[in-house]
Amino acid sequence: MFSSWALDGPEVQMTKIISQTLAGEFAVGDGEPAVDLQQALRDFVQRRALLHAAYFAHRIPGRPPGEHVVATTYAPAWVRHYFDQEYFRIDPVVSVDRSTLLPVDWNSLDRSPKRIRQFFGEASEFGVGRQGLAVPVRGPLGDRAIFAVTSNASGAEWDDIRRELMRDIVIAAQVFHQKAMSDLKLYELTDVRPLSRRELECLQWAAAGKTMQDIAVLVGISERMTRAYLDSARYKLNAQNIAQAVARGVSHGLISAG
Amino acid sequence: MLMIIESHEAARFERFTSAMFRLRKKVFVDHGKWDLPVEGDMEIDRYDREEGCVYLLSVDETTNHVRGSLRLMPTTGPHLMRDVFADWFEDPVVLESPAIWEVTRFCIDPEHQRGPYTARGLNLATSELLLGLASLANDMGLTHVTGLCHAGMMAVVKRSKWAPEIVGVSDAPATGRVYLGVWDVSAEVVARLAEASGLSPASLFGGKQVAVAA
Repeated sequence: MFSSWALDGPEVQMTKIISQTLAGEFAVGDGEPAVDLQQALRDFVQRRALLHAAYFAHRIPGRPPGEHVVATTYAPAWVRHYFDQEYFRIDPVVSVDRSTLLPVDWNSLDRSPKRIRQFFGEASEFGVGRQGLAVPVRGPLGDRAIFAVTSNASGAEWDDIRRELMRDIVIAAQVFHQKAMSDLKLYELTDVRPLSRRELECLQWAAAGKTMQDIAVLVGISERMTRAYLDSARYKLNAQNIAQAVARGVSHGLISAG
Repeated sequence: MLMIIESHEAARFERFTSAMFRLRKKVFVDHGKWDLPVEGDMEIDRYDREEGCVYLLSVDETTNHVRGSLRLMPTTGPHLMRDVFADWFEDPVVLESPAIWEVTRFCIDPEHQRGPYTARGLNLATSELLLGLASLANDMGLTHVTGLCHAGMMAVVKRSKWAPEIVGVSDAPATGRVYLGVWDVSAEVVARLAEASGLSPASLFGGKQVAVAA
């Protein structure tokens, strides 16, 4: 399920399908197969015993105004119903989130208006899930997106799941977004933001196969800072993991191989 | 009491955000002599106006007086270290990651530097802001927060139970000596700050519910 629709002012219409699909090499974590965005979302939820995931890019600089990117693992029938009913007008996850920076647990949303109750009722009939978490994504060019995951866990279980997976979800949200924006050519793979000296040092040791603990000792910094530098290097290189960051660093001539 | 306000909600919480902008002018421009844009008696920049940020405010729940505040922004988009501060450092550390957010404009009203105090004898506004920051950052899944501190604030945070790693020092003309700190975020940090202050993370946000907190 990959489609895009255009939004002009308050009037939202499903007018446009981007012909280019988000296909190509893509993985979250190590050793995942090359897949498209929807398959990557499916793999992400399966590996973590979540129910569904959805990605929605709602601000894409340089594209026609209001062009959006959507990929979900929801049942196609729900997505069709969602657009037929124009639920994007009232969906609190979508409408609340446009300018929000903090993650939103669906439990914290006001469900008292009748239409919102009906919306969540129908979503649940289509198997969307009892629990949900939406993470806003902000990119380097003013690009913005929302990544949401859902679960059928009970309230108490959900609190534990969310706490345990939060970091994973926050990183994954950005990785999915980087993938989508790179495929739209918004981010060119040649666009690499400058890496600091420490980031390069840590990445160079990672290229030599050193572990986080080794690198900390070799560079003479804490493990926590090592983690921060490597994560930042990964992000700046538009990479999904450290291995890919090393490969990109080498191909850009920033570090030497092995 | 601690409030979380996002910049897009500033109008709805105008009374508190105006007080915060006035406090920031008092602390950074009037006292600190930082060269920052001001609008009347308020210090407001383009990040507040355009880019979007999250504010933490320590508020006296009986008088609604803003005792201190800080500003949080994701480092994946426009932020001060990337756009402004990097030029101030010879070897700048610009961390960018969805798991690392930037703290700026951390300030305590000079009137409140001598109290009130928590039951454990720590400054209440400082304790609320540090515990609130650690707790929110941990709930959001962050691994670190990073930020620039002037010497006075750095002295305060170094004495706290959440000392940062200092990864840069600069004598910038606009601000005088500033330090770039990186704070690690974990449940242990939250527990340690709660223990030290006697405050409870759960009861900290008397005003608005944190979205990520169930």
